[in-house]
Amino acid sequence: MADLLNQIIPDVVARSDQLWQAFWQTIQMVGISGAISLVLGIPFGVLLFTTKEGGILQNRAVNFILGKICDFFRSIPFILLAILLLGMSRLIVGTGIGVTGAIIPLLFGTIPFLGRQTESALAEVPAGLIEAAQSMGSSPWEIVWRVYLREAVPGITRGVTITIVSLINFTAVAGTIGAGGLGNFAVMYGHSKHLPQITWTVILIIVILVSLVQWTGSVIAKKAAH
Amino acid sequence: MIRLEHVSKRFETGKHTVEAVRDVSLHIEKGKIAGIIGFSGAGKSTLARCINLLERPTQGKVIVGGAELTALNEKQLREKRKKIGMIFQHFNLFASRTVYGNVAYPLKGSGRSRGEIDQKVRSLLDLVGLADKADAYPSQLSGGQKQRVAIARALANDPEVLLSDEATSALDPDTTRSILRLLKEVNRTLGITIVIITHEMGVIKEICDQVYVMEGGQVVEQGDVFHVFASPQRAVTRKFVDSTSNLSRIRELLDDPANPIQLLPGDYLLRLNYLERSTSQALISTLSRQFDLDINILLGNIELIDGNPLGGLVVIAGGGHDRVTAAAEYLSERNVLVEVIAHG
Repeated sequence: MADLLNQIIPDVVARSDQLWQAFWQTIQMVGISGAISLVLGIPFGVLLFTTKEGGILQNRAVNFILGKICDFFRSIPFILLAILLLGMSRLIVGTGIGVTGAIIPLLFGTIPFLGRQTESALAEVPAGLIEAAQSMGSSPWEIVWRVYLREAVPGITRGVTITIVSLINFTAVAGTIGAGGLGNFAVMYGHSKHLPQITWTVILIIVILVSLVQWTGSVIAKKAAH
Repeated sequence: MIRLEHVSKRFETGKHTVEAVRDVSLHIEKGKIAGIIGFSGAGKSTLARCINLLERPTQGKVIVGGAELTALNEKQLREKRKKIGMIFQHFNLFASRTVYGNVAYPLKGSGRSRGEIDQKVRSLLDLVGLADKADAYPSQLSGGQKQRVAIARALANDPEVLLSDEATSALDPDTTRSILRLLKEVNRTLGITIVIITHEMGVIKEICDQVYVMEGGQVVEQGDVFHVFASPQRAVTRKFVDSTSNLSRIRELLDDPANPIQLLPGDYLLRLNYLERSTSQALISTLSRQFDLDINILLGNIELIDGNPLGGLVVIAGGGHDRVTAAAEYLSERNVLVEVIAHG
């Protein structure tokens, strides 16, 4: 096996330690910012949806502000967002490079995205269910917890899946401006040193990673839908 | 039990104002089954939602079980709503919860222990005849079963009132009947006051004590079901009453180009509407003998409403103007309303 790999992709085998390290950096970036995104992005989406006109926590001002913030960050291409947030990253986590430095830009890229995904997942919950819950005396927060978040599990799971897939893409982009990880590895060796084997290997790994995430997400969403 | 005083509900959408409910006052006594009937857009669903304040009236007072709901704050209102169950046309069951989970939903936070909740859910599922479906998900049930689960859920907090918003409109006739029977049973055994919103007069006929007919946001006719059926005053009410009988088919027969009804000179096409316990008399034979008429029955529709026979006949009476007029007078004295549809 090792021999075979050595024959096909000698450039990669020679740098397997760095590849391994880059892979772990990517996993760390996706894991940490993914986890934080879930914790912040889903509530963000809940607020985006429920404060809308006719929503159970209707609040025009809050909805307007959240919507604008969301659209602002969503409209900036991630590479520019990452550059823009370098300073902020230094301020908050003390560094603008490496895995730690990448977290802040990644969060700003994914939270608004997951927020909108959550919003549209909640919009799919039939209005009749909310009416039924209200008729049974449920409070707005009870409806959020016991109806929206529960009924929307399949939709939110799909949203989270898409978010993690784009997060993997974002980490590769962040890699090009010093965040480390697979993207950085591909740029440093594949692009700068003209080693196409490296680029292709990294692409293959990312494709497998994305497929795994997508498959897991689909299985969970399917299981949650009755 | 339920008292509405001058309730109005306006919806403002941009420049348009829709007055869905206009100055409705009504009083439904405890333990009664009241029907609110109207065509779509008549405001009946909005009116029902005004009873539990899912729609807050723009004007007027809503009093349920002695408490003025329109004067309560949100928190007090939520407590009160637990005593007003509601079921819907599209069932509105939680797809992510099992039958058991759906029925248990309103019991959480009611101060009951796990064991008490379990006991309550089991007894409710027994009541609606779905004890064996506790672990099924709504998507695995038929429409009638879904509505039974919804009824069990609506009854979980022992409500005083049950609102039924077109609850049988998505069901086939057999299932409709079985759901209505269940509602009647719930009314009888638990003493719950039921308000039924429907556009089907058959539903009203089947189980209601009183009926309110709505048109254009207003209650245009009301009374006990027998009287409204027996002598509908408004055109809309007549339409609903006709919809449950085949007597109105006579119009179609008259319009039929094949001309299936042939009237000879001196023949009168009459519609006889039986009011007030008049069916027990042998009217047709009496007419035939006493007024020397030839009577041909074309259509007949007699049914029991609230234990009283009600309905009518469409007949051709032959014998000339004078004899038919005399017969008609005889009939009106015996509480049979005579309507001349056509004559030869």
